Amino acid sequence: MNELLLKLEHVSRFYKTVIGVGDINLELPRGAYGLIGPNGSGKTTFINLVTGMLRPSLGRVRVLGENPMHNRQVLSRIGLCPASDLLYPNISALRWVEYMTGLHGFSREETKERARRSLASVGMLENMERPIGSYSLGMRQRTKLAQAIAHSPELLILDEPFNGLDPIGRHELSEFLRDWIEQGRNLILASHILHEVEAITSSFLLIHGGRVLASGDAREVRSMLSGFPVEVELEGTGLVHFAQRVASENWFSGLSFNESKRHLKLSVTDQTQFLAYLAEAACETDVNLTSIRSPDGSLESAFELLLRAHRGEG
Amino acid sequence: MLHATIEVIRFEAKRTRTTGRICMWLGLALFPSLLMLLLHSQPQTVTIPRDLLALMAYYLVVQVGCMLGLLLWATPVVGSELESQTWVYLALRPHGKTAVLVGKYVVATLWTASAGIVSACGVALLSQFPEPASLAVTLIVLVVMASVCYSALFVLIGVALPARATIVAVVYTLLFEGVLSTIPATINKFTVCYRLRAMLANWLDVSLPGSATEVIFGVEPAWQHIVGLFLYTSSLLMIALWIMRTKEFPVASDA
Repeated sequence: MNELLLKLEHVSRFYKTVIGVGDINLELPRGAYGLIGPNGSGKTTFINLVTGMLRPSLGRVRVLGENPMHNRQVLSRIGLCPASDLLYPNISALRWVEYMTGLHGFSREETKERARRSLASVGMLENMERPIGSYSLGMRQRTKLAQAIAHSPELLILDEPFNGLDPIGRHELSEFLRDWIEQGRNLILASHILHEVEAITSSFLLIHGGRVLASGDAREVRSMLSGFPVEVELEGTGLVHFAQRVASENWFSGLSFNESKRHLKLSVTDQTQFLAYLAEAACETDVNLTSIRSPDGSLESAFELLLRAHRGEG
Repeated sequence: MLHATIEVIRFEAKRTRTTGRICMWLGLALFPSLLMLLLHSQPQTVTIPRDLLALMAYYLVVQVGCMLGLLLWATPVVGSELESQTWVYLALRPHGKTAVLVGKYVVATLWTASAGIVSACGVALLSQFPEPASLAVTLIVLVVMASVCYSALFVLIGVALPARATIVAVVYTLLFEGVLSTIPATINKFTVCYRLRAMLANWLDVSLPGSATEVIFGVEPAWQHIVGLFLYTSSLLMIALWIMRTKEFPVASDA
């Protein structure tokens, strides 16, 4: 099947006068993606549009080649683990997952078998007969995940799955998702915790203010930002003289000092050239550095840069 | 679709077997009988007329009992799922919305009708009605019809206005089924109460003084009322299904 995983054509969704997502144009081939953005950035709205829970105010949504609003059958190929907590206190995980699986139309025997298998795969076999109300948050998250995978979907969508999980729970979930991807299945993982997403997949959609700022793998995202200034923080003595020299360089973009003049923030458009210049200057002049801090090249720094560019601070 | 509906029925039926809900069922099934018992345990100075007894039994069992049961079960068809944040899971199944509506409708109807049938038998036995078997059979048939019709009505209200479904259902019931059904005009023919009451009068030969019988109970034969209720119920269910499939119910949003 060569159909795209997602295709969104000029999709906007408004909540009265508030923009949930605005003019998203996107074509995603099959694969695993991290949907990254701060809280309130539009991740859940994006997911609700993709799953047909919300109708776009403008534009068209296609998931696995189908419009989820019109062809509800495509939902049998999607598994969703929403961010909201599970509030069925008196029902056991097994009964609830059976219920959710049965709603896909499987026979009674197959429903039971699938529910047990999916609960076992998320490590809930021992506790699955207990009422959900007695579960820890981590166990409820695993139960939610079990209902999302029990019908063997092609696409698994998780909305903030790491919320409330302890370190062991996070590790186990990460392992599970890496296995999922290794089996060649599709994944959309919405989170605001960048390093956890980065540990699972290398392809990202960066969303902020209801807009997709960038998409691609970490390297592609960073290359998009190559022209944007990067902030470098220097601490030491002799920085005033150093700043005067730097100001004439073509990769220089801006600077600021603290009151004691021992802390300099430089904005540079080419880190490589800057570092070469800094090494030279440190040898030739009286600049005496005690620390240098610059973006570590992680996705987090790239994301911060994108946000700055989006706000017009570039 | 059928499997999914059966799954909803199975799940919802299991949820009826909690202590709280069993107590509610017992309350609905037994309170009309208890009232009848209390009524007849008082020293009687005047004998209650047969027709008044039939009307009392009808209002207690069919109007009050069934409606209370359905207010509890049919009205929160969507609201309870939205409140417990479980709607998103149901709506994410290909036939989830339809299965939930039909499944919950069936369970609400069966739960209420079963309580009503027990109630009807108890009231018929304890009411000192001259023909208790006829009263019991009539009440049972009316309970089943009331459960089927009012369940559809309350499900529609629950789907159309999930956030305020119970309040709207209570107001509608008082206004339309309570007040308008007794107004001697064409409008009362659009109420379930009018038709059920008319069938009670038909089958138990209940009459009121003067020309009140024709005004309150109408002159149509029972089959017309049954057809009217069938059309009424199917229309309400069709509208509810259409709303369920097309309406966007509020879901979590981070924007």
